[in-house]
Amino acid sequence: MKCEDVAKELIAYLDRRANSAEQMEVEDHLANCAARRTRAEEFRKVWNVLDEMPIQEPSLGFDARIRQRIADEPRPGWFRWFVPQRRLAISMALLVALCVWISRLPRDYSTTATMPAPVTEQQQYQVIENLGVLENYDVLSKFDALSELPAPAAPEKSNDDLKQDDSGGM
Amino acid sequence: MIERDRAEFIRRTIAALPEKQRAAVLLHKYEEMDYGEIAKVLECSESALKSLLFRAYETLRIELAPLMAQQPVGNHAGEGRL
Repeated sequence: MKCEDVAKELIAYLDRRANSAEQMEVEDHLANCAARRTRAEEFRKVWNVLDEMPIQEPSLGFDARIRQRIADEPRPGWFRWFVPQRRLAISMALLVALCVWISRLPRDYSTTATMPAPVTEQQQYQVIENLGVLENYDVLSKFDALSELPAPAAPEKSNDDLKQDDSGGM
Repeated sequence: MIERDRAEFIRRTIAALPEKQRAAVLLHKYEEMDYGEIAKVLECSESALKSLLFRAYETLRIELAPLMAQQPVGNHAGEGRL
């Protein structure tokens, strides 16, 4: 056993709580190690000094008084189990009030009026029918019929221009 | 140093130990609990407890050296515990 290991086992050796094998090992080491032998003697002296400090034991009636005080504590009645805690009661009351308030809010039906009319099955079918062609860029870019289309017409004239033309022509 | 002062000095020296060392010393020396029980209370291994006790008694050995040099008159210490 190394000297450091003996240091750890020294306390158990001195209070005779080490097992027999450890006792033997420590004893062998102490026989050859003056430093550890001196330390063991000093630890014994420390324990003797520590014994000078009186242990403050509780008085004989201490346990009895404690038990009596516990017994004297007022016990809650069985009906107390049904009484909710204050925080829980307040939370529940607030939740109920919130639900009532929300249920009494006026409902706005105007949003449904602006919704688009439902699409008929025929319209849906037309959209789906041409979808493959419309999404295929190669087909559209090489489609001869598109190149033969006439140039886009000039922008339409405004109402004022039309009026001027009419007055000029007359 | 009279007996009462010595006891007070010892009490203060133990109180000055780090918390875990102090608990280990009190349980080992005064409550006379075995290592397994103390290790359970302090939530450490028995090996760690032995190191803890060694360090604690080392500190006490140094701090209580003046008292060890002069034993009180009529001292019967060491006869009872450990």
